[in-house]
Amino acid sequence: MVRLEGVSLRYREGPEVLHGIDLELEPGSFHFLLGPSGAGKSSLMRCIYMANKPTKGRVMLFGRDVQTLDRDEQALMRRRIGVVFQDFRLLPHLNAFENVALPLRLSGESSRALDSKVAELMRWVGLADCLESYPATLSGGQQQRVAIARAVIGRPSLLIADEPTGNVDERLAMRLLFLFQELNRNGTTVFIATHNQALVQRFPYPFYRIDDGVLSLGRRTAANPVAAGAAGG
Amino acid sequence: MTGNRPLQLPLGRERSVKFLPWLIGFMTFLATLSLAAALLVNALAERWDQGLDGRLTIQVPHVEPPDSVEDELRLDAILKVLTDTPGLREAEVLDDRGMANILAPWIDDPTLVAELRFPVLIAVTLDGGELSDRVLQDLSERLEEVAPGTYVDTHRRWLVGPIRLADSIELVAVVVLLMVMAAAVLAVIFVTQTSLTIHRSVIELLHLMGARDLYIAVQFQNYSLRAALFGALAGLFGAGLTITAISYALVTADDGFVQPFQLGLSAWLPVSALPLAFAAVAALTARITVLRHLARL
Repeated sequence: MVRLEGVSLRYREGPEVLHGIDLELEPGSFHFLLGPSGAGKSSLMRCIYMANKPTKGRVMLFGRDVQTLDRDEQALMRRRIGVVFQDFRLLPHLNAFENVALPLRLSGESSRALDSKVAELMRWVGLADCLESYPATLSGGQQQRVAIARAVIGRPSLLIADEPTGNVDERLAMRLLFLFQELNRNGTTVFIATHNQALVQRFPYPFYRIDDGVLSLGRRTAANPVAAGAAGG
Repeated sequence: MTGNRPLQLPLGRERSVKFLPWLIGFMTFLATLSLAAALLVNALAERWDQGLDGRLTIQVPHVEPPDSVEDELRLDAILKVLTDTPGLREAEVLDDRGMANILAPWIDDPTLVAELRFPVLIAVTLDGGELSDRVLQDLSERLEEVAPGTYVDTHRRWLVGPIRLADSIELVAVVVLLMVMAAAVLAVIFVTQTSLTIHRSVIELLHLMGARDLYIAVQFQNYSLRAALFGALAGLFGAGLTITAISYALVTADDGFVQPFQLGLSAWLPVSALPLAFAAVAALTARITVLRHLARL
């Protein structure tokens, strides 16, 4: 599903922020990515959802090297990926309904099918009354739920979430993770970046840890349920 | 819920882009006046041309030394040649009074006209259209045989200057029209590029969600189409009022030279098509600009 081989990244002439990362996510797997702020979580995510081209190395998605795709093929591949951005990235001039409906519109979904799907999902994330609300009138937590609804509305094969629970309370965070878990049970590969170790402890899924742009496979121990493993992976 | 679906890109809200309809409006105004001028001048030249079409004037010099009998004989011979020439309907010899009328603006004394012994003029009406160069050449040679010095005037030489001037004015008007169109293209490119810069993050987001370049380009294209059409229609309306006002002023002046300056229905049709042309050019320009820009990303 996702394979990174020796991926390094630097922004323009800046320092390298990712160093030779190897990563593999099997289809239908669920992984967390743990790491402090500035460790490179978002940069790694950006490489996976094709927002940045790695300076070195190779990104394979759905069995294809993304560097070899033309722009139309990239667009089609991106439709199979749902992304929850750390800063939500809702379009301020569109209401919550239109923001959530966006991926379906891009895929050419009919208006009738789109109405029911969006309404159902907005009910699920507890925002049934906010369909007409614009992002500026929503709280941080509500915006985050709209962003999550937008990421999952197209039933993506791969869901990438960058700090998806950063702006919600513990109870809602759990509820959102249950949503991701449900998606995963239906076959979606899930990769969630977070700095919230407590949250990771509550779910039995494997996790990676990133520090200063170096990725390692985490392992759970009795003493420390989210300790870093040996370098590699 | 899905009715009146908004654009995913908030185009037209930025201050730097809002002036596009105004810009296109002014350009359409100028282009309409240029096109109208070109069409008017063209119509004027055609009118001059048609006014002289189907007519010839034959100038027959008097014999030297003066001999009225010989003049009469030469005139009869000439009229016989004209009668025998196919394609001529009527030949009318202008008498002294007719000559005096023609020369009245310059010589107001009819007796002086008779004394000056101007060549005899024969006004010839053709059956229709023009005589071919070969027939004209043949006619001239036969007239020269019976009356040396006779000159066949097709009036073309009088029209060469005015028609050349009209052609030049027409050319300048068309060049102005093309330059205005080119300026509109540049304006749309500038506005589109500015808009692409302003909405860079939204475009990136749409790309990340799987939008194709064409999908984004179509949004710019449709916005430019609407903005340009709105501005161009306003510009056409303003130009129409201006042309109507000028026509009205000239008609009311009634100096005998104004009739050709009225824009006919056949001229209004291409003029009215200008907003569509501007809208189409703006839409196409925006589309190509966006596609080229995105291809470089």
